[in-house]
Amino acid sequence: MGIRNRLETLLEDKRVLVVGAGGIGCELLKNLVLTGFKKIHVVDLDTIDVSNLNRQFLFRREHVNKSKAEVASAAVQKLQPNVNITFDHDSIFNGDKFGISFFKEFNLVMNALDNRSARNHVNRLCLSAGVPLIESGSAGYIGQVSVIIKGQTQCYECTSKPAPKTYPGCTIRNTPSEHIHCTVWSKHCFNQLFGEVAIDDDVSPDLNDPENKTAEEATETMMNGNGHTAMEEGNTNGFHTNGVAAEESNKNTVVPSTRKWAEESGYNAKLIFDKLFHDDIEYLLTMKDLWKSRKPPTPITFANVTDEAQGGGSTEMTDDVNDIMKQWTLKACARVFVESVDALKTRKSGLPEGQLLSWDKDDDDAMRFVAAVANLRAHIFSIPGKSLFEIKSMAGNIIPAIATTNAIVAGMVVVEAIKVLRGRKDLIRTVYINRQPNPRGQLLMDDDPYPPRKECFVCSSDKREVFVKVNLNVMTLKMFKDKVLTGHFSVQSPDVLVATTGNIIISSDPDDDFSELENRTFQENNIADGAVLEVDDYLQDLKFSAVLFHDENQKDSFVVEQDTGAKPGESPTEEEASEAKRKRKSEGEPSASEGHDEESQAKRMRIAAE
Amino acid sequence: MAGIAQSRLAEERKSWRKDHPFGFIAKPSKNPDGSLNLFNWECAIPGKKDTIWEGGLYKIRMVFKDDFPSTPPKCKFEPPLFHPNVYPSGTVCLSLLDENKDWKPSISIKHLLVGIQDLLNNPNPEDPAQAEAYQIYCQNRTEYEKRVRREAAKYNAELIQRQMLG
Repeated sequence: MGIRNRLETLLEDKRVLVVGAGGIGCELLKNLVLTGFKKIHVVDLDTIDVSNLNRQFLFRREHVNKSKAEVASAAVQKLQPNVNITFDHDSIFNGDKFGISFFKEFNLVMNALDNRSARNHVNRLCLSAGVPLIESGSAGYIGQVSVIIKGQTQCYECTSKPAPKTYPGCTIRNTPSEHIHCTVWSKHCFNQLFGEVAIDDDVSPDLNDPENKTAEEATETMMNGNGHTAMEEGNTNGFHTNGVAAEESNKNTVVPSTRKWAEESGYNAKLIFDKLFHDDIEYLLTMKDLWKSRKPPTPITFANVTDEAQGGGSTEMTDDVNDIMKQWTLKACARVFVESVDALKTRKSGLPEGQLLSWDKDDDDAMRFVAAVANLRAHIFSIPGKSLFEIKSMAGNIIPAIATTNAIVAGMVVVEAIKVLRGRKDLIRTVYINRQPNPRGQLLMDDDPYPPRKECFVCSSDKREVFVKVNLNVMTLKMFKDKVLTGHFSVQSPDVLVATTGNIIISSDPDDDFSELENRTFQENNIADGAVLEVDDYLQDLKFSAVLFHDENQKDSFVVEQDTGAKPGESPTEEEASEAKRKRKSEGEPSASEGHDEESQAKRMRIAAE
Repeated sequence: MAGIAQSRLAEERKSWRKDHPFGFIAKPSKNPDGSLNLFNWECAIPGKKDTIWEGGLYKIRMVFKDDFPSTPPKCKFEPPLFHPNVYPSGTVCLSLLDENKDWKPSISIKHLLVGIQDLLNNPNPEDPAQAEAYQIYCQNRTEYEKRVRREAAKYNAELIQRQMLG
């Protein structure tokens, strides 16, 4: 029997699920039907964007705004009319549709996803349903394919992935040193003014900066200094004063003052400009310790930026605010600032009460606002500016997608898929696609799959424990649920009970009313240091214990310590040591400029892009 | 042993939420602080269709001990129900709920509630628990049926459901 016939017999009754119909998904669907797969279901919630057309080759211009899953299914159906291909234009997180019993209908699931939380989710559902999963990803020239079989190979969450890059609050708020810091700050600024206010995203000077030993002194200066201004402002505009806001934030109180301030000023762009780029910077200058070994920032006002022909000397810069490839002059930034604030103000006031804008890199007003604000702030801190295009790729965390890499990845997915369906688990390989051939001339490298990590909180059979350090006096159950459980652990529908009492403190049942309990802190709910919480995801059927430790240094933040399996006193294994080294390295570098250490990273992490 | 009881009850809650017989209610009760108590459930059993119990929804509390499921939960109608096998306190007398008789650790909450529903219309005269209902049941069946229908009207299903589910 030839290979065609054998494949045909093998694939005749096999049903497979493809999650994602984007860069890798399109390639994969085409490969599957041409290989002879007969029963395929594809899920994707996305619609087709113009920017997809260069590599998601099943889509044409006339398909823009249509469902990816639908158009991709129709396209491959044409290639092989006898294939039974079905689709859902829906989110894989929709638990009513895509629960464990849904996954059990398939012989194999293949991920072609672009984000970690969906990967975590599918990983857990496949483990619970006992269905093999092929996980894949690409980022620029590098890519990876790995097979996940419960109890046999490492699951997607056996290794901790480097956290999405975050920067210390005081770097963002007080002492930016790279353009990305200013870009992050300007996104926060957008949210403070027009979007959902997050406590972490304050844009005012942070008085609790550990470097600022003279905090009290500075507060006093501010109080006195600004008390004067405040009175003037109070008389003319009735603004909340900087002094009050700063004093309160010094006491660790949550003060969403920027929003209130802006609203009361009627979103007067020039006043906001002077507050952000002059008054707040003047205030930062009073925190003298910060500037002992740093170049102090230079405050700017709207008037002097627009009066002087700033930056006109450099041919690198442009006054043309429609040029997104060149860096704007300060004057141009100020103009964009006013225009975008006005536009966003109008849009915000047009929204129903209580609704907010949300930042999106493809929203022109929002993007122009962020680009202008980031460059203005960069100028203040003597950091070279960037073009809107460059800022967009940083602010939107855009990772380049290369059609060729996706094609190779999708090809290797099919190779591994056939091994799994043939039951030849002994042949399974993890495949890495390198940026360039290694010294042995291999562009594709393959390796034995890693065995499951015994302490993995997702796939291990006995010891599922995580350790979380929080400030029990500050963190509320709601914060714990949103930030730790959903935000960090990708738990979608948590039920949580306290091990010692058997009391349920977080419920995934929409009929249960937990509003009162949820808004209280752990301490107020009598949950103490060392408490063990049993977490159970209703949808994913994932269960693990979370041990809470009190840490006075955390505010509303948290630290997760997963058991690495090393016994106390034992020196870390080579694997762990290099993992730690890599972590340190990545911490020192902005996420957007990754690509220096890709080869070695590719071996350790599964990649976050398509 | 609390660990076993707890995880079993958490599983019971989960499987109930995934699937349960129509018209029944079962959920852990609320503690004063707003959390839910896995060891104390508030349930309700609808009277079977085409019986004298039809139309009523009877509230019953299930209290579990730390050694559940080695021991059965205590099941108590609140308020006490007019029925030959229900003690004046409301506690149900049923072999399924008796550690020394038919209780098995594998019996689920769903199983128990359906069992009690069944008992409503099939009282066991061998094992009476309250004098009033037992005597009327034995001596005057017409009067008994009238009394039961009165209970069914009093615990009107819609009313109780609204009370319990808000």
